[in-house]
Amino acid sequence: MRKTIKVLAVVFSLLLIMTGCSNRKNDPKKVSEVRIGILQVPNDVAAARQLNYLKAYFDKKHIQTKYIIFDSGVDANKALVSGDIDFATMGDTNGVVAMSSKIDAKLIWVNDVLGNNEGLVVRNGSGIKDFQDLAGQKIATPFASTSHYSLMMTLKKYNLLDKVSLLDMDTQDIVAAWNRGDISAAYTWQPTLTPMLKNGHFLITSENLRNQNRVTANITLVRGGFERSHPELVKGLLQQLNRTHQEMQTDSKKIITAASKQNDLGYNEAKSQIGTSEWLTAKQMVDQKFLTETFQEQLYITGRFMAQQQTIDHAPTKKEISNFVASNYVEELGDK
Amino acid sequence: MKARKKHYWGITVATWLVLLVVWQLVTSLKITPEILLPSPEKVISTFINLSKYGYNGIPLWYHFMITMVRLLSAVVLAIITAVPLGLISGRIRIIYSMFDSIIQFIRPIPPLAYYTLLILWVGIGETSKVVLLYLAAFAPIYLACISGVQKVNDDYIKSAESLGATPRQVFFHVIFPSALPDIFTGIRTAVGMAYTTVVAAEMVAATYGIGWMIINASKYLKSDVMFVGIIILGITGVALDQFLKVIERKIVFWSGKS
Repeated sequence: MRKTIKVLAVVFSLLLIMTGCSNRKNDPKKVSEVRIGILQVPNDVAAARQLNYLKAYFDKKHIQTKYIIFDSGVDANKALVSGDIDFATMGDTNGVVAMSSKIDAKLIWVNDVLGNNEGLVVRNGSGIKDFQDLAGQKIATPFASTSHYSLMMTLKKYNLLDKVSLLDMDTQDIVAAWNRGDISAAYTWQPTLTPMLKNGHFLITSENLRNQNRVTANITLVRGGFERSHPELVKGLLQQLNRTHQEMQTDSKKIITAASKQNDLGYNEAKSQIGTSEWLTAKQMVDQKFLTETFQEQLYITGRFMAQQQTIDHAPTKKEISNFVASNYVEELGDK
Repeated sequence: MKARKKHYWGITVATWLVLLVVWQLVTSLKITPEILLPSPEKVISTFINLSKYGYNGIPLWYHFMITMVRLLSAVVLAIITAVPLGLISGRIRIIYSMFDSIIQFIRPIPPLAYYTLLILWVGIGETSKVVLLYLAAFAPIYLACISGVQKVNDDYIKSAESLGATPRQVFFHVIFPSALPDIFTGIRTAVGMAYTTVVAAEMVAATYGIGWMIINASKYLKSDVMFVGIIILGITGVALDQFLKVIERKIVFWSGKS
C-alpha cells in the first residue's frame, strides 16, 4: 500500500511538472526579451535586423531582441507550441498546419509573396524537358513547406502524383543529394537554388503558379499569449517591417544591401535570391484587400488541398481562417 | 517465492494502470492542450485509422515491415561480420591489435554525427540507413565476442589439446560454445543499439518506415500519430528483446549452470 502511495506521488508530481511546463511561459506581464524566429534568407526581417530598425525600436522599450534561425517553418511551429519564440517567419503552408492543429497563434504579416525565389529545378542533361518526363523520377522537397505544396499542385495538374517518388529532405540535404547525383529534380527555395541552377534549370517557379492564381507566401505568426498581452509591441514590430517594405520600393538598393550583408551574400546574389518575390507595403495590402480577402482565399485553397492529400486532418473553414488572420495591425498601418 | 513474484507483477501492472488513468484525466480535464498530449481515445482511434487507411498512402504494416527489415538486415550483417572478427581477435593478438583500437574509436561516436557523411558516401537510398544501423550494432557484438573468448577456462583448452585436438577443433568445440552466452548478450545489446538508431536512420530522405512516420507527423504537428508510432516502437522493442531471450534460453540452455 505504501508503495502504491509512493507511485501515486511520483505520478502526481510528474503531472504537476507537465502542467507547469505548459503554463510557465504564458503572459509574463513585463517583457524583457522578444524572441524572433527567422529564416536564413534575404527578406524584410534580415534587412530590418541589419539596419537596426528592430533593435532600436525594442531598445527604446528596454527589451532585448533575440533571433533564432530555423531551416523552415516546421521547427518554428514547434517552438511556437512550446512557447520558446514570440514571432516566427515561415511559409504559409506551415501557417495552415498551425491553424489546423489549433496552435495559439495569429498571422499578422505577409513578408513576401513568393516569386522565382522558389521553383522546381531539373538537372541539365537529365532528359527532363517537360512535366511528363518527371514520371518515374525522384523529386526532393522539404515536406510541409510551400515548395512541397507548390510541387504537389503541379504534379496533380499533370496527373503525376502517383508516378513520381517524393523525397523529404532539408534544404542542405537537397544540395548534397543533387551534387551526388542522387536526384535530378527538386522543388526548393533560395539560397539552395543558386548552386543547383549552375547545372540545372527551372521547369516551373512559384512566380508561374502565382500567375495561375496559386499564391504562396512567407508569413509572420505571433504567439497568441504574446499578442493578447502586448498588442502595442506587435504593432511596433510591424511598423519596422513595413518601413523596409516601403523603402524596398523607393530605395531598393539600401534594403537589398542590408539583407545581403545580414546573410553574408554579395549584393547581386541577394538581388537574384529575392528575385521576383513581392514585398507589399501595409498600404498596398489594405488597398488590394490582400489580408482580408485575397490571401484568406489562398489559405482556404491551400488548406483544402492539404486536407485532400491527408497531410492535415481537417481543412480550416473560412471562419477559422478569418479568426487566424489578425489583419487589424496591417490596417492601422495602412491607413496612415 | 512465487507469491512474491506475483506481487511484483501486480505493482508493474498497477503502475501502468495509474499512468493510463492519469493520462486519461489530464486530457479529459483539458489541463494540457491536445497538441502536447492527445487523449488515449484519440490515440486509439488514430491507430485504427492508420491500420485501415495507412499513413501517407502507405499501409501501416508496410511502414512497420520496412523498419524491421532495415533493422534486422543490419543486425544480421553485424552478426556475420562481428562474431568471426571478435572471436579471432579474442584469440589472436595480432588481429586484436589491428582492429580493436579502430572499433574502440568508432564505438562511442553517436551515429547521427557521421550520418550526414554516410549519406554523402553511399547516397540516400537503403544502403546508408542499413550501414548506419550496422555500425551501431557492430561494436557490442564484437566486444562481447572478445570477452567471451578471453573468459574461456584455460584448463578446458589445455585438456582438449592434451587429448590431441587440433587448433581448429579447439576453436569450434571448446572456444566457440564457451563464448556463446556472451555472444548472445552482445547480440541483444546490439539489437538495442540499432533499435535506438532507427528513427535517426529514417530521418533523411525516407518515404516510409515507422521512424519516418513519426518525423513526418511532427512536421504537421500530428501528435496523435507521433504517439501511435512511439508506442509501436516501444512495444516492438520489448517484444524483440523477449524473443531474443527465448532463443538464447533454447540455444545456450547451459548458460549460468556451469
